[in-house]
Amino acid sequence: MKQLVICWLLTILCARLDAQTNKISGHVYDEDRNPLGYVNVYIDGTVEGTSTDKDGIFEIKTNALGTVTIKASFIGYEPFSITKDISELKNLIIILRQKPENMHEIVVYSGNYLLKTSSALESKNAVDLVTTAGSEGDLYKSLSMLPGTQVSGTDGRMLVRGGESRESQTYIDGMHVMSPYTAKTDDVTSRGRYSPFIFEGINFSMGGYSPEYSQSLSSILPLSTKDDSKISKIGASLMNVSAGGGGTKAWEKGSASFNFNYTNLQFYNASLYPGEKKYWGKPYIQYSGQNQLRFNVGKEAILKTYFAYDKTLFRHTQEEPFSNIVRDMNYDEDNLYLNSTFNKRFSNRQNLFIGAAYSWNRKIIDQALTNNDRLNVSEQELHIKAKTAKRFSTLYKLEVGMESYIKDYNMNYRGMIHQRSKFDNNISGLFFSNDFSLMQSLFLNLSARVEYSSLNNSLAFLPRIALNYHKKGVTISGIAGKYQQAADNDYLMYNNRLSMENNLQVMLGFYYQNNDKIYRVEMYDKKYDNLPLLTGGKYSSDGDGYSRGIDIFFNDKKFLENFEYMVAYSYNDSKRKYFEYPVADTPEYVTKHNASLTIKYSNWKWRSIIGVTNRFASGWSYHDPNREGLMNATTPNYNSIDVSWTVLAHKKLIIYACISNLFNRHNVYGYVYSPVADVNGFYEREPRMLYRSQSFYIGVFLTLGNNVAYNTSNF
Amino acid sequence: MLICLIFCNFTVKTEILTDSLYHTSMDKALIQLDSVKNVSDLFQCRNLFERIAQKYTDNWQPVYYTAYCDIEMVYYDQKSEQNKGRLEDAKIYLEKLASYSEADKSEISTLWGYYYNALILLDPEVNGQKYFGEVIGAYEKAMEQNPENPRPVVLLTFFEQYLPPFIKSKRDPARERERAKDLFDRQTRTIENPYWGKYFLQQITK
Repeated sequence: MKQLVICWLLTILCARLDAQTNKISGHVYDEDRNPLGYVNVYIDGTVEGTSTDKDGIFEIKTNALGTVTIKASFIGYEPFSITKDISELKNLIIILRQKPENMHEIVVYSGNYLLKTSSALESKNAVDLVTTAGSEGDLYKSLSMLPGTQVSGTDGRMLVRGGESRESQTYIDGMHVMSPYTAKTDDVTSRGRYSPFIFEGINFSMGGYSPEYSQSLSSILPLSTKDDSKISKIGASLMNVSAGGGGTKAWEKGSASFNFNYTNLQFYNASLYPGEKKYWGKPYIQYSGQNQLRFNVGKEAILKTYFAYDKTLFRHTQEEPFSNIVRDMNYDEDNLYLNSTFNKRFSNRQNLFIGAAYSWNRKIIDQALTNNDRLNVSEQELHIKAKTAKRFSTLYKLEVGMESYIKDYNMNYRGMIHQRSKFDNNISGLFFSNDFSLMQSLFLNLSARVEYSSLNNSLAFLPRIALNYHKKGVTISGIAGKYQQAADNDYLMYNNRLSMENNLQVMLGFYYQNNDKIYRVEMYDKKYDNLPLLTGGKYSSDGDGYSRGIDIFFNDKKFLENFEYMVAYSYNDSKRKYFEYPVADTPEYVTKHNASLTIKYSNWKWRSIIGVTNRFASGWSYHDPNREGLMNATTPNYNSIDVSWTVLAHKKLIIYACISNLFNRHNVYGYVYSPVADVNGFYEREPRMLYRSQSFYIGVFLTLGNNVAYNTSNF
Repeated sequence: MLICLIFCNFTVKTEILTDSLYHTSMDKALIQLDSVKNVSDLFQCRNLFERIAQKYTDNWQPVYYTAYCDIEMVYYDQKSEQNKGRLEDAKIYLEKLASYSEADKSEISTLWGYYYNALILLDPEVNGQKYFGEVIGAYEKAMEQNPENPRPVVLLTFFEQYLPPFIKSKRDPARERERAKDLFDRQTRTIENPYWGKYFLQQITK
């Protein structure tokens, strides 16, 4: 009996122990000791948990015993974890750290414009440059509306902060594009190759960029293609100068996009400039096609391939000023680009990137310089790259990578003289980048690149330091770095032992951004060295120069109802001693003052977006042989007013029209002087102007399937 | 007595990891979700679904509902500064759904449409032009994947009310509303498949 009672008492005791509940309690705060409400606090591996109240207080009642792990998570904050015996988990004080915003973007803020990023939520900040007037649907033209980029003159290419157009390099998904522009001739300005079905992010940087990128002294334009597309769509476009179409097919594990375009200026020239028919033996024609495939291969891994091909043809009669020579130039260019990239994100906050890209370009030009000559230039480039990054903690992230460029250049000129040039160049680089979070709002980046070039057997160390302060929409950023780029092939042809051109860049920028307004002020100073210099009939690397200036930019998306405006101004002071200029002077492609004002007006009653852009530049320097000195004169100021009108006529139909240089101002970019003086010892001249001072585009963009293919943000 | 002592002293509370706990948790969470009145209630639900998702990693429904709650908070409080973060979080969970082969594809497409619609709410002037095609495309894809799903029918009809006339489809809103109502009446409330959205029937006024 006594045993039964003891047993019974013990059973009751055990039952009481079994029913004992433990309490886990505490407070959750942010780093400024503000209480955080709605934080998810729970026992790892169970559903037992709760949300903090508005004062950050939580209490979890549980039957768990022994050692447990408590986790706390909240949107925008790093997750928190603590493992202790349950008896010690009372009155906890949990401090959650805010997730640092994408550190890479913060650190390269200076000189950097993030446009239409892959994060859909950046749409508010995306400067929809391609909708502004004067862009003519061309990516590079639309970028020229930013401060620091200069009016391209007759080149049609991007000129950035006192640098030549070749100092700006384009990348697609991190892989270099050797030839991003279409043919450049005296008659047709270049246009970039770009498709709204394929491209998504544009991260334009005007200096101080990561040492991941090299061989560019002024700017880099990394374009990113879409990682994914959930919706299949197909569309066609018809413009007064071209016809084309494209689309995307989406399936579960991936998607594919294509784009094709056929440009023929015959109708355009015949209708607007009928008197010039005799100059065009063959009209300007271009065929182009691009294709992209994307596959989700496993968890958080994407494989993408991108392919582009285009062909350009025309024959045009060239008349050189002050010469009797009339050339019937025949132009034939093929351009091919193929890249493949693999990206994987691991669960331990590491990611891996591997890519390979091949570029090939061939130009055959008859009557290139004189009658009966032929210039044949063929270049190719293989670019391979691998990089990996890991965030070790909220305080530190490391990225390392390596890449190699294998370039081949072949030039054959047959005319009154015969000239050949062929050389290969292998450029290999190893880079690393350290991101430190020094304090809540202060970020430091220390990075460097080691680069080897086989052509001149040189090894270079290129460091970079960047410091960013970022709080409540205000950013202050300072960057210093060294960059290098191989001399242009036109000069390597004469001396392939020319050193790498290099520059030292220092930049300081101030930025403020809230929902509707962006303000940016940036100052920069670039010192150039090892520029090709012609002395005694030979090219050496003894040239040098500098470029310094200030860029100012305002953008207000909600200026007045339905109005958005953007103002950009830049001042640049550049001098170079290079090529055939033995004394440092302002290069002929630089203008001291550049400004642009863009206004966009949306009116849904008219289904329209109307854009007006006014671009201004002070004149270009040139050499007047009638005066003393070298670059001793300046052209008149440049001014152009461009207008565009986008009409969303129907959900499946967009009509787009734009006219550049509305008032047909005859802007002069320089002068060509007679090689001999007249009887009075005076050198005559002719102005260098755009072949077409005005251009006019109109077209329709149609959705052919069910899903909307084009939206007005593409324009 | 000895057996009793051993049994009592060595009693350890064990949690039985069975389906019944998952069902109970999901049921409790859905009851809470059905009675939500404000963002605070939604947050509690969201956190509960997130806890269930981190424990029961083979089930797509907790992941789906975590994303749904994130998006729904934007509809409840359109001016909140936290909406950007909420939609970023929703996107992470939406993308995670792609790795569940048995997840209901029509429901996932519908939720993507709901997400893009929420994006438009953040900044209608800018995002409206950009994403209206994505919203319509996602809902139409959902209808193709499962014609019996009432959610894309009612949500697309609701969304189209706010579009300019030249963009709307030729669908008759009254007839679509009736069709959606009929489909809603036929669905049963389970933890396996979503059943929300009936509220939008009353929001179709045109």
